[in-house]
Amino acid sequence: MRHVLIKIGIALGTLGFVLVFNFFLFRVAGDPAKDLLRNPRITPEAREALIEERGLNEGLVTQFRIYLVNTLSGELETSYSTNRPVLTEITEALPNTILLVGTATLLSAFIGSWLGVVAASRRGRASDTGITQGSLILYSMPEFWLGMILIWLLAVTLGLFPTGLKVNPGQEFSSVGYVWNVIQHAALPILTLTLGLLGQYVVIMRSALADVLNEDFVTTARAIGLPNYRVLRDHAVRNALLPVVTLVSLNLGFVVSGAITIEALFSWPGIGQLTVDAINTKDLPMLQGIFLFTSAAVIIANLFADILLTYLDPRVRVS
Amino acid sequence: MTHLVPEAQHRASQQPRIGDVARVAARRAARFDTDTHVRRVRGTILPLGTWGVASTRGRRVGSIVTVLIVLASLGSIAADEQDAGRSKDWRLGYDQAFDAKINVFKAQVAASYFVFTEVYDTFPYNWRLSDAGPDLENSLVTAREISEDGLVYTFYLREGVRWSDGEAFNADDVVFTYNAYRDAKQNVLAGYVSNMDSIEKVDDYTVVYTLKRPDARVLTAYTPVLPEHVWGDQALDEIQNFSPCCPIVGTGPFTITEYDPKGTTILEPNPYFWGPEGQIERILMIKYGDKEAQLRDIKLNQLDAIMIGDTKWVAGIEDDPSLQAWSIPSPGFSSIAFNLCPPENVNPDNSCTGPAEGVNWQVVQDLAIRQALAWAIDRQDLVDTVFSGQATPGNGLISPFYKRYYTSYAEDPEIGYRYDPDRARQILAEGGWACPSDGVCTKDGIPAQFELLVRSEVQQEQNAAKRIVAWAADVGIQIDLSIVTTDAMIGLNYEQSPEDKNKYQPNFDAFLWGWAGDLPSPDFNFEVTLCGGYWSDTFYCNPEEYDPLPKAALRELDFERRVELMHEAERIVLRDSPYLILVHNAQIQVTRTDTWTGYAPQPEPNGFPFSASWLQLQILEPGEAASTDYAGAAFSIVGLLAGIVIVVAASRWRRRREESGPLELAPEGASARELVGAGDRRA
Repeated sequence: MRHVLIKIGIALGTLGFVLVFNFFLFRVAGDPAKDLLRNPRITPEAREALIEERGLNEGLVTQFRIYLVNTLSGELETSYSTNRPVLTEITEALPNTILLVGTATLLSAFIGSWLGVVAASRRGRASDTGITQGSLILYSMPEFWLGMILIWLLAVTLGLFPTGLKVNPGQEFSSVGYVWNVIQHAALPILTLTLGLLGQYVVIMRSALADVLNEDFVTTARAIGLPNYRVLRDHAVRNALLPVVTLVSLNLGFVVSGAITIEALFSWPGIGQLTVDAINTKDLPMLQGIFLFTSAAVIIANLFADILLTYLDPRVRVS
Repeated sequence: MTHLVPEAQHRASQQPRIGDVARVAARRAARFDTDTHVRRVRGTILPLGTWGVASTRGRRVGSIVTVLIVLASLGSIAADEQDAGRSKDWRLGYDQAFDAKINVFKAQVAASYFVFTEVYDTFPYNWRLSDAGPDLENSLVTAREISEDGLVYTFYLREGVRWSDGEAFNADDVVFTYNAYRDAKQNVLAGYVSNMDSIEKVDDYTVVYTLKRPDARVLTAYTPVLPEHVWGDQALDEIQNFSPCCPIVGTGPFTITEYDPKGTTILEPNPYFWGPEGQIERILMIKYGDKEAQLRDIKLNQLDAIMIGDTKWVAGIEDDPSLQAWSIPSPGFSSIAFNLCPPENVNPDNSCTGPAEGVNWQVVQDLAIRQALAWAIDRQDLVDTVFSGQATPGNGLISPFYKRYYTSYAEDPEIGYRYDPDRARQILAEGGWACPSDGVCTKDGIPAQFELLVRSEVQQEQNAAKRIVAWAADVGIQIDLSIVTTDAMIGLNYEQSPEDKNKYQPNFDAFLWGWAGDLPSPDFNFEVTLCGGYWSDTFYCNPEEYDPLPKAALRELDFERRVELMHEAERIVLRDSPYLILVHNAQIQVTRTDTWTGYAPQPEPNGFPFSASWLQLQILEPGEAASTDYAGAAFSIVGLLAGIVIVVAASRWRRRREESGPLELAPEGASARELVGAGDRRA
């Protein structure tokens, strides 16, 4: 229990650091007041009024104090660009991102570790080399490039998938039709992300399982005549799962930050797209909100992974 | 509005439909199912894993059937909706998100302005297509009288106009709108009413607009008329945060019926519209994450137009007969700006107190250097190489975009800066600079050398700068490039003066950037070079000769005289060269040539094909090609195949698990099954 409390304390400390760092990070990146410098329609007075409304005429310390008070009271300010509350924008984009990145993370974890098991149990054979090398090639490809190839091949040339967006524009749907249409649109980006993420699970699962398969208890299990699948399922894989579980729970933290390049490539309206739009318009409150939110998610996922590991692996508790 | 138009229905009936494919598959699946009905009867709802090994096959078939039926029914439900693409949609791709809740007091981006163009009329006039002047036929004002002194305008409003919600439009709305524009705490359109004294209603269809001083921009002001019954309750210091959506109430031809800034925003015709009826039934504004995706989709006939394209596309699009790229000169220019804040005797009106320490003012404030550079640059080469042909060589403050105001100085012997290095050398020699044949010129021991700031974010400007450095070196001027962020550049430009905190101490020699003026008239471009002007970035100051001219042009109501005054002012700026104007950059819009026809650029012939006036979309005619349906037909089949593969693979895997025997430590190359033999299969 004490161990868990310490972990929670560290997580809170990290979050506090992010809170402070976040503010200064974006101030260094640029002064949004300067972007208003050359709009031929704005009068000088109007420009001053806008700067004042955004609090950009205040000193950095005052701005920081306002930011801190607002954030701690759960208010993430208003986006400069859309003029809507940052929290609303984030919560609207979140389900889309979870659908895309969450599904891809789970799929790649399942398929990847399954392929890892296959590769490890056939070590040195052609299928092992194929799986390992293939997934590593996919993993090292930039995702957007993989996505572009898949769009060209599967969407443009073969016409199997829509080329992008979340639903067909301007179409009225029944609820089933809507869901089906979203599935169609989500399929290709999910496929891209899944292929891109597979590699890490394959490699980790394969190496962990390979180690376990050399252990004495596996030889024992084989010696007592257990079928291969039972050796794997009941004895080897369970012991090799630990690093995969850690990896999955860490990656779940990144689910909410979206996949910036993939969302942009497929015009998918998630958090990644929100981030790109905010960067393009120097929308400080939005960027701060998104970064705070995603850092918090990663920190919480880390904490979760830590605690899960403590529960799963007695060695951690003892050490 | 959900019905299919007859053409679309006809089209739909001729096309193979996914529904059919899926239904056939479902029927086959159903037949397949009857073969195995015995087992299904025996154990339809038994939970998984409760059947004996002997029934593995049956279970497998059962699950395949279930999956197929689910997929087929999903597919056929969706298929009926799939064909609902409509040929009378006009589909516009854009990538910069809507801003400020589409509120005219605050919004600034192209998507929001497109909506304003379609939803509102501007007062007094919309802009006509030929030259962007006031459109006397298609506007809310039908007649006007102007007093002798140019201060009092009487406008007669169109009668019988209704707002898109059915309420009557009258003079109260105009009076409300103009007062709000003037008095709102925050308004990006405030510049258009900066000379307004008052606006009064005479009767329901007459307003009197009084100015503090004459202002030639009144007739082409960009001031959308807002309905008082919607906006009237808003406090003026909060009105910029009001959300008028949706539907946005206006008098223009369209209104927003579905607002989805992250997906597709739909505009449908205003049922009460007073003007010419168009053929477009819906405008779909489709938000993209990136520009290349829009180009791909317009090629696939999934878009009819792209709001903002890329200059790099133009060459490729020229080979494609189904697409047209519109290259529109921007209302501004790319230029090199010099630091002209003098080290002493600064005009008290100027907004600077002197250059910062280390500024090479002896060089950049020497007229011979600036003029020599102006002759040393090959602008056509910049256009051809750096801007891939998508720009116009420039040497005036007025871009060719302002058709009614533009004049070319290309042939002028004094200020028609062309590529002429000999002329540049001559000017340097006459200016007292001693130039060795290969090396840097000097004057009084000072080398002709200065630093040019270039923005790190804009690759084109960096490429242009590198060429300029070479041309300058050719005539004996050394330019040192310094690549900085836009923020840093602006910071150096407007460094606060230690002597007067309301003034600047510009800390740069020269910088390269571009900016654009306002659409209706080039007045803003002249404001930037006024002595002590709010927007001044060169600190150029010529109060006797230059400043009176733009101010007079602004007050001159005789259009030809106004343009003359502007040209006079332009010649002075070109002679003094606070800016070396390089090119007028191009903006790109793309349209399809076969789905909708009859695009009329505003202004002719090189203006915007849409988005400048609502009339542009009202006059479009449907083309021969219908819009394509979206991918999805094949997807159902892919879904079916994937489903089959998964189910088959799963059951095979399960069976193999059941079949596989104990693992022996096998010799290399032999599989466990070979060793154990077939006899153990059912063990």
